[in-house]
Amino acid sequence: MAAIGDNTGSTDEDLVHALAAGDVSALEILSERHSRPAYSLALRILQDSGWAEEVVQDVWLKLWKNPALYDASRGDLRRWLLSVTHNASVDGLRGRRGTSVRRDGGAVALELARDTGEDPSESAWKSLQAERVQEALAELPPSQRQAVELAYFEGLSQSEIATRTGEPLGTIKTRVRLGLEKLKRSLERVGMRQ
Amino acid sequence: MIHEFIHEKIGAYAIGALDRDEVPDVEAHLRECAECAQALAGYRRLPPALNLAVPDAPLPDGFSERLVRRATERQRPVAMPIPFRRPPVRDGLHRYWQRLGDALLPWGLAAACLLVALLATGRISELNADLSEHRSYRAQITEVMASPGLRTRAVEPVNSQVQGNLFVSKTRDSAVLMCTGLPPPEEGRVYQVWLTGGGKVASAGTFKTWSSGTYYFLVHPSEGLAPYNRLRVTVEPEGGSSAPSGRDVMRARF
Repeated sequence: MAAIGDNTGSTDEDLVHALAAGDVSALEILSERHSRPAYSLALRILQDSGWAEEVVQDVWLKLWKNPALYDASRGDLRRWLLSVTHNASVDGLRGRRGTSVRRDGGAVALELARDTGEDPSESAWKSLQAERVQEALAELPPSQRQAVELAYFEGLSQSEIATRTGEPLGTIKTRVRLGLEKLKRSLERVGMRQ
Repeated sequence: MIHEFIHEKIGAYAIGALDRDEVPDVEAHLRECAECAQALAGYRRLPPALNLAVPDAPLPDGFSERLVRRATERQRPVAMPIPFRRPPVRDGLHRYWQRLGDALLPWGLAAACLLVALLATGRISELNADLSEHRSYRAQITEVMASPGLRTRAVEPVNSQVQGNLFVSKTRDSAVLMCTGLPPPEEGRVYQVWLTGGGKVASAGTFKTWSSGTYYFLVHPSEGLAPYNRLRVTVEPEGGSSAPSGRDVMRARF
């Protein structure tokens, strides 16, 4: 397998090209850069460290097997990784529950805005973004936050949330709608438009 | 009335919280209603944001090492889709060896069988030449894809489900066509890559895909890429054609 030299100073896009050319060290560097947030997300959804590791590794191996899955023109690699990890984790949960997989598939990834290039302050900026989203979620009324979190992090449909919580379906729909509207406005207010 | 009814569901649709039976109506309405489509675009920002809103958890020790081990335990797909690039088939025996080599070499488990067959027929020198050519071809692709300032162009499928990118290197005056989802051509057919520009059409070579449907094709015309602004791939008879004659399967701009 041909090595492509020292990739440690390379951008994600460079590394994906190297990965596509068969450089396994590029895969390792990308994993070191981005696996932690993906693993954190998978663990939040699956509540099982072994399962979370397996899901994240499977996502990387899919990219290794088929680098064309990631299109740099549609968004940065970390967002792609998190989106695919989310879908895989939720599908895994739903599969275990015996419910059907989600329909949104990779659509979320396809909608991502362009965000390319590495920056020395990128890590700090992403931490700040994470804090802002967590604050925006925390600002929601508890019932709305619970509805949103059950939908997004446990992959429950609104009917399933109603069954889980014992609340009327109409109430759950209202909570999801209001919660998402507020969340969207909060993020826009702090400048997170992408 | 329908609009208001659907509009209220857009947020739940964006995060995948609708029940399955609600989705078709929402998607049908989204195709017709610009206002709802715009609202959806706003809600599409939420999933990437929510993905960040989780407690930070340290990676388990040895995570990346285990990942690399799993990757290297598997057959590296790049080694499979980049086949030998040979001149057109010369005779029946040569064709036989081409097919045998193409089919078995990427899989290590088959190497022993191939070795026995080659020893029995005294054709090992030909195989070595093929392997050398194969390695050289891969090395050229690696060089192009690792070159600075590489530009990425999306491949446009034509009557096919193919996905891929065209990686264009100015410094190497070359390009790599990477595609996936391209089924093996019919018996007696190959895919042929064409370069077009300024009224000129030139063949860049032929290739076949296997079951993986993934392929890397090096575009390195002797006159460079400057005369060309487009690439197209057609299905042609084995051995290639002098001009495009079969159906198109994909195209891309340089």
